[in-house]
Amino acid sequence: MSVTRVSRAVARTAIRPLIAAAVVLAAVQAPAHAQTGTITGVVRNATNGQPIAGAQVSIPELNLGIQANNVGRYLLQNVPAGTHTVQVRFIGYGTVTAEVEVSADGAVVQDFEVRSETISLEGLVVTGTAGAARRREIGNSVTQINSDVFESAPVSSVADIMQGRTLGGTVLTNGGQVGAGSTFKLRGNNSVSFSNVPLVYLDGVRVRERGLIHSDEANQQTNPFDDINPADIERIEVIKGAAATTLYGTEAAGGVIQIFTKRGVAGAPAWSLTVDQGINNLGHIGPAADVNPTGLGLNNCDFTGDANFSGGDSQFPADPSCPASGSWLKTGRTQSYNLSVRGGAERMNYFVSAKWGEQGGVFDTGFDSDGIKRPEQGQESWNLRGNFAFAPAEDLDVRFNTFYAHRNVTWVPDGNNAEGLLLNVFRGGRDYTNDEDGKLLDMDITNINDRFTSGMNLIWTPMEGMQHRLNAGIDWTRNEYFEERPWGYFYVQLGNRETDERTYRKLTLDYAGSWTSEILGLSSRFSLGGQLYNDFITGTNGFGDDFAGPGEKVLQSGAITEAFEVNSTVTSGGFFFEEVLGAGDRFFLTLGLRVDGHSAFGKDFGLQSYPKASFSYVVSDEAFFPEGFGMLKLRGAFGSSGKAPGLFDAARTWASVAGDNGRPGVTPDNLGNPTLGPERSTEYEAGFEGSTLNDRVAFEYQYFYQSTSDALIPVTQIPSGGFVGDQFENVGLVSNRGHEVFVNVNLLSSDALIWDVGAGLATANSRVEDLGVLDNIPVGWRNYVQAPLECTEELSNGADFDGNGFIGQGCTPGELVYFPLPAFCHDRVQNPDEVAAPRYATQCLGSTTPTHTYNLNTTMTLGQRLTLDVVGEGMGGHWLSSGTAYQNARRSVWPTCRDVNQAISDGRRDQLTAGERALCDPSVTRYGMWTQPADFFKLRSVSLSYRLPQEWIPGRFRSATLRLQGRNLLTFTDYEGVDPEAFEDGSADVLFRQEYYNLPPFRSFVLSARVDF
Amino acid sequence: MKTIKNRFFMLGALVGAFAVTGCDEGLFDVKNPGRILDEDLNTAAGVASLVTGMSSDFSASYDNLAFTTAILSDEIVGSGSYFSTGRYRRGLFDSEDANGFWAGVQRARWVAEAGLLRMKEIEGYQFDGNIQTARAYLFAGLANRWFGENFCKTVFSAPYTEEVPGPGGEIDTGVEMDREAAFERAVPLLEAAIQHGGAAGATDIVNAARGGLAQVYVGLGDATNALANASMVPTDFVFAAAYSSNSGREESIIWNETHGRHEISAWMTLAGTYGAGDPRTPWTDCSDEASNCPSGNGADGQTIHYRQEKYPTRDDDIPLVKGTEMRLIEAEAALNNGDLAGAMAKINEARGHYGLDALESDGTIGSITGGEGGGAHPTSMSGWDILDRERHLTLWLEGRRLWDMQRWDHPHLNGGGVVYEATVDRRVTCDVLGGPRHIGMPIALDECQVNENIDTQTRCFSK
Repeated sequence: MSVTRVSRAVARTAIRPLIAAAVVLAAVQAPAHAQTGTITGVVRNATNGQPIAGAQVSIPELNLGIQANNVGRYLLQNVPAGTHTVQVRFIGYGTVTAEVEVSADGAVVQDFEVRSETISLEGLVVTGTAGAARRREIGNSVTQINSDVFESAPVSSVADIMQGRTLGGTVLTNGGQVGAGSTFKLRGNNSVSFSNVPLVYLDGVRVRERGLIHSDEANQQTNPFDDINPADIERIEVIKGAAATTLYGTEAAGGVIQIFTKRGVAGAPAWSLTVDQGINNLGHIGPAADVNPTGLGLNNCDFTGDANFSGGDSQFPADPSCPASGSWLKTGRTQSYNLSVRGGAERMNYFVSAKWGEQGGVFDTGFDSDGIKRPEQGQESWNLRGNFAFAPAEDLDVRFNTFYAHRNVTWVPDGNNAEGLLLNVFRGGRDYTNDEDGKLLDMDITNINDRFTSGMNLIWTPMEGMQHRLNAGIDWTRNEYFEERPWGYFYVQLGNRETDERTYRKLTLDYAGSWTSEILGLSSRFSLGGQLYNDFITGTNGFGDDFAGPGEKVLQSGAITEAFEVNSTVTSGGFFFEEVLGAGDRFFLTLGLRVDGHSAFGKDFGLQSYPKASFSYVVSDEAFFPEGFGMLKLRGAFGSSGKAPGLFDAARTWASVAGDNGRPGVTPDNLGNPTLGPERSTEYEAGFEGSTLNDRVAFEYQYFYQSTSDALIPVTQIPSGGFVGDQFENVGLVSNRGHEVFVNVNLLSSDALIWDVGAGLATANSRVEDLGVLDNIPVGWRNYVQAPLECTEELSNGADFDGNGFIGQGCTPGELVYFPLPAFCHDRVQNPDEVAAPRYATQCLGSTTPTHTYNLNTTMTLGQRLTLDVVGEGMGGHWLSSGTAYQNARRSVWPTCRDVNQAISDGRRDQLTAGERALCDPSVTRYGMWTQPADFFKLRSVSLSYRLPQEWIPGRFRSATLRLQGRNLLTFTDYEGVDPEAFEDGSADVLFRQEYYNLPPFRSFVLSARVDF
Repeated sequence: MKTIKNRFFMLGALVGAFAVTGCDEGLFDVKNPGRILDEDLNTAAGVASLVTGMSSDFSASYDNLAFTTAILSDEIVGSGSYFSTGRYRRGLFDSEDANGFWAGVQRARWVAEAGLLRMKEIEGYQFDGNIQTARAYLFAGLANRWFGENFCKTVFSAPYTEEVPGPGGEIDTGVEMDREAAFERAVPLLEAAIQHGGAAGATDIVNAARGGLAQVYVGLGDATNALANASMVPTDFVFAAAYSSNSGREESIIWNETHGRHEISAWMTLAGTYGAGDPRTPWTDCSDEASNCPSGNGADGQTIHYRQEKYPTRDDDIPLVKGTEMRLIEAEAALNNGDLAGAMAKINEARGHYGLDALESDGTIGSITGGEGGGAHPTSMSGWDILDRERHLTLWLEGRRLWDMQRWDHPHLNGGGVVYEATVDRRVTCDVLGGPRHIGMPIALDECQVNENIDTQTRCFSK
């Protein structure tokens, strides 16, 4: 605990009325409290000067406390005369104290400035524990991101918040269409067959964590994360592995993200209005070595020549359908308006917010053949939130949190799609459109999300030391998808339409109770609880083909219609016990057990149990620890969690199909496995965290080792037995290990300048240990889950074409060679320097998921007014196939292949080396040749904000801030494809990755103004 | 205090009991609409659906086989951008490529064979002389014909049954067998189809089964039985795998890959040159603006798209047994017997069915010489070259050409044609088998991985 930056300045104008009121109140009550005084003041964020609403201000020795109101003000009344230690606590912030001398009838003004702390031993954590626990008690790593960290940063989604700020987390942007979802993973992959996406809770209610309907035409999907308004978020807690997620049971092996939104606090309505205006745009596309200035025809689609290309470039001829601007790209406009209010009385409070925004994409969609402006790529969204809390009794708190979001996204066909814009533009004249690519944009693709999440949190504290917490809620998402090729569309001349409508509903019922007592001089907190989750999905997917004529369509406008229905329910639930024993408030031992049932378990399987154990030792509290070092906590944790099989994987079933022109038939569906159970992840984690140099240096380190046993592997059931297809069996073993470290340094801390610098590094190296009877499992685009192989001379001595190595290079014959999850394996040239035809051998190159991530960030605040915030992030250790480069090379239109193409055209093919031909000769190039290390570093965001002096703003405004923000500004990489982060399948929850004609992530600039009143 | 504490623990016990009881009382039951439990198929009223499923499973995979073997055999050129068709175009086809095709034919075979076992046991179902029984035998027989014609080796394992539930259960795992085993397996199945079809008065099924028998006897090298069965099938008879626009699963992939996409083209093939204007090999030159095609080129951006029009809609069925093929089987038997005139008569009978002029040979029986453009010699008028060309064109895009090339050890297998790129020196082969050239699809990687009877070192390979 530290005393930091406590200002004893004279009362500020803004709080004078409060002081006056306090004085009056004190005077009125003087006969009853002749020996007491009051303490009042404002709790502010030390970095940006903004008030902290809801901070707990107390005098522990007097058991006296109050919550700062909605503008950070507090008033402690009836404080006995004397000197007291006043303490301020708030989740995610460091605890500060101040010695205050109170005189009888006196009113003391005591302001506090608290700093957001990544590591605060007294800070409360509620994720992964049975109830709220102080960080000092927790044996596993926890990442907390507080709103003050991202309030000044350019964030428009939860993904933006987490990117570069989640140690051990990987957030890949995937694509450059507005509305495209990101991919989230924590500590890489630990499941071969199922989602590696973490579970997500919003104010205690489990919400959908995976992407919604995937557009086969845009090759993107929205992510429900993005429906949450970042401005509503108070903090995010992240726990990463089975050691931490045990209490969440089956399905939690990928980690847990818990989002807490802002709550109301007592006080008159405090309003906040934020207005954002900005732009999105994209720079030059394609390899830097390209001498053609058109950016693969995307930046310039009307190129008629320059000094290098007299009369134009035959590979990228001018496109007659090119927009009037001469480019398929434009600057997209963004704007949003966010209004919120919070306030309340002693026993009731509220937080209400509303946001509307629209974001324009970077495609210039131009005009259709009738001269009508085509819909632009982009999205429009609005959100409403109401969080209400009341205390019907002294010992009971009831909170209702509700939000509704609506989002409408218009896509452009993109990615791995014959009708994709980039695919046809990048291929120049060798495309599907006869190089009139604008025809593609006549296709309409629309995605509409409606989302409603509502939960009730009930906290009952019947007596000191006992607390019951009940969360109940619903997360309801409706996703509608429309795709239409109009009548007369060039590629499907009679046109067609698809509609896909899904409703996802998750119900949460979560109870936890805890009892704190003392046993033999040890503190004890015994907790128990249980959860029930019900996951329901329903929807219909319809197709209408062959329209009779033009006009607006519905499905039945098609001469041929077809419909499908989705309807499934999964119920999971379990109960847990947890005991936390503490000794001297410095050593804590936690033991727990979770027992689960699940719809997807085989009928003979029964329940699954997951144990956990952890310790935490605040060694710096020991007498022998060097004074002045600061704080150091050692910790270790062990725990298990799991992943459930798919809904119907355990049962033998047949599916209904049609045959003989519409007659009913059946086909084998699933073989079934009555003993099927969840795969089980067990994790060991050990590390330490602390701070030193007067808390100016905070640090954290952990090593983790995960092993997933009984891994669910899709085992092919001897095809010649007839029941073809895969059946999940609990046979595999996968391991994953890594280090995570971060250091945050407060270089300067004064009223004039606060300068923080932070850096983090996380590794996650997955390895396939066993696949049962299988040698490998293809997971798409030459990405394999590969079982260990015995090293051979051939493997060991294979040619290293590009000097980047390959798996097994230099291995000792006979030893086992292990592969990451998943690995890219394909043909690589073995005689690159020979002037001959290439000889190939299959080589596995490396993981297609980043094996390490690192971030560098800095925040500099001058005079608590001008703040510069910079976040950079790098990823590496992974390989990415550039389907774009490979397919273009096959068509002799890849810029770096111009020389080889010319040689072939000149009849000099036989003078080329095998390496040159393997890359660029259309007749022999292979996918593996265009698979490269995809390490990158991106400048994720830069933000400059200025809080205006009070005298500059009208009197009724409490504060006003201007911000200039930039996002995704620079990329550093040696990867030769279009972008090392692009992914052909949007945020699809799959193992493989490859880049395939996807629009790369764009950059954004936003000017933002916020006023509080 | 003690009371409160006790209540607290009682509450915990209740939570636990609730969860445990929930498991027993069905709280976690799977909601499973849309799927049919295995035992629910054991009803007489469900037999029609079972047999329609056999037809559906046959069609659902056969179109993909016809599409792919067309590329592998140079019936047509792969002009697309699929990763796989790019390989097939170069003659590259390995055990991993075979997975889907192996699974397709095994499923088609198994649903029919296992379905027949089930149908025999269904109470209230009149098995003998029932048209559904005849159809089931026909699909079982034709699936085995498909297996033998297109795969270098065959494997038959005992089927998974209710008693042998697969994972954890032992089945009688099959061993590698020569492709003739599939033909031999097909014979009694097709004979049973004739028996039950005849009893049911189903002439079409009887004709289809006789045609199927003729095909498998050709595969077995039994000219006598092939001729005997072929001669009983009328020239205008066609039995086809059914396709329909009724549902996506029923649509023909060949239509989709040529009309919906531009993945194969008749350009530079026998059909695209010699076959121009031939009603058996219709195509449209999409590079002609008047064609109104979406694009003049294939999906690879360079091959001119000669769009096949044999299957111009999603609904067009793929023939499995045709009377015109029977005439060509008769012609082949005649050539084998040195009867050139008899052979030409049968060839011209088949041509006449399509309204084509009669051909006149150069008077020699000759041998198959092959041609650069697409396998069969385009102009030679020797007996065998004419037969080669006529089978090529008559059975175009029906999934039969690869088999003809195998059984004739066709010269075109040497590679080096216009369509196959010059760097490829071998056609799709099962190289590891050694000895005489084996043309066809290998044992699938999936089978190699899980069937311990398969010698993966010598029977499974990658390219």
